[in-house]
Amino acid sequence: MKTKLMLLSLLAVASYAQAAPTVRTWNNPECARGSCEIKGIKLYLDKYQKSSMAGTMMAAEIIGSNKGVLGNYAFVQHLKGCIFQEDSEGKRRLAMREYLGRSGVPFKHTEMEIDSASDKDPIYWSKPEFGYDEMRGFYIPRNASYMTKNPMGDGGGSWAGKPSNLTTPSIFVSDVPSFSTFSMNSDMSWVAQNSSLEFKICLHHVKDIPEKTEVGKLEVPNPIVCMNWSSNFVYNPKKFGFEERKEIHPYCLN
Amino acid sequence: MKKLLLLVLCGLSAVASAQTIPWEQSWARPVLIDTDMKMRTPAYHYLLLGTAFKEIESYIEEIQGKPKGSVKISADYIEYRFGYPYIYRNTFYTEDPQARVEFNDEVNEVIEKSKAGTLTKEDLKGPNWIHLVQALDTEEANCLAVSRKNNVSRGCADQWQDGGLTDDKLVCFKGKTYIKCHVECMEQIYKRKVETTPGPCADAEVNNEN
Repeated sequence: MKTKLMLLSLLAVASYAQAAPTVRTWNNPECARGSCEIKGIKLYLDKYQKSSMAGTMMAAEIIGSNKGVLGNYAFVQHLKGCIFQEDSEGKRRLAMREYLGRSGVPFKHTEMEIDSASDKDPIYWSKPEFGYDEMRGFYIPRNASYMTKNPMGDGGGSWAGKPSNLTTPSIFVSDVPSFSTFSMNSDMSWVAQNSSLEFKICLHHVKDIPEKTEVGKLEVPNPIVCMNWSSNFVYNPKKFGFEERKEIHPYCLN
Repeated sequence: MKKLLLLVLCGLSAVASAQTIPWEQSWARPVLIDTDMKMRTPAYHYLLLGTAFKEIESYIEEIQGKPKGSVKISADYIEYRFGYPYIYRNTFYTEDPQARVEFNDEVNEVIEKSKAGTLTKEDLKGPNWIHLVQALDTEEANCLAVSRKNNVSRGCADQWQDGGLTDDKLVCFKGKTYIKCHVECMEQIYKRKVETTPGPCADAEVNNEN
């Protein structure tokens, strides 16, 4: 017992792996061929892994040729996988979530589905009150909630569809899926919350994205580009730590 | 005859006016509509508000240069800051948070439409449904909430203080009632005149009669 405790303590203070953020870039080939409205997108990924917590954070950037075009483009994100709890007795239980405006939905997606919690607009970080605003005197775009600066850097406020809020022709979204966590009780029993999730984030012209969907398995037409990323860490009690998986945990797909 | 009808209809619609908040005795039940046109009526007791709200009160005191402990946040303002777009002008109060609230006909009608999924923005007209202007960005938030610039406090802050949403705090814009300070923020930021009439909008039934 004492040896086990010592070993666990050593592991708890062992150095954790925290990779520097990676950046993946897509450059629009249309720009090389002539004119283009979108120059490209960038995906910033920051993995975090400690003995008690692990996960991946994401930020995505739309880079326009000028500030005026940015209201016409938005991301649609899809997700697959689940979040589940597991304890030292081997019991597993799905977490719950809000999905497409419905609360109390099991957090389990066996196929890629639209990632939208509180509303039915497929746009990631959609603005519910979009449209011509009679009081303000301008059109609020559906991506008005996108941010003016990289949330992984200094952050910033919403761009609100106002080019004057931007210093460069870029707008950003971010995602921090629930981290996988581990906790141990004094009687050595433990509980882990595992996030085994894959994401696909696609850039679209807003006119191609329906304003509402009741269906998670929605194929939004004409993606300009898509990028995959994941936050997939599951606790392995035999190794006293989280393992990053290459595939979704089987419990999430049954 | 029309004047008499007007007076009767005003009585029936129970136009809300000044409302003093019973800070310590009752549970507040603000009537809210969210962006999905669903009605919510959360319960608040001022003595049980968490430290987060106390921090907001302290922040407002500091920004506005008011004595410590002099500001109390209304439940309505809290819900406004949470992002609700519509609120009923007066909040209902109960002694028992579990008790069923006796709403008036005007609220009950909207409850039924909300449950049926048929409630729209156009149903929220008249003097008692307040359309709240939510900040789109930092510039708007500085005006609509509370901030300090050049050593001067500014911002609309909690409009439910000091007697509630009295007529002088409201304006009518395109048949919908707004908080005057919010509209003034929009005029200031976007440098345009918003055509409003002073006070809340007339009762929708009166408008139809005339």
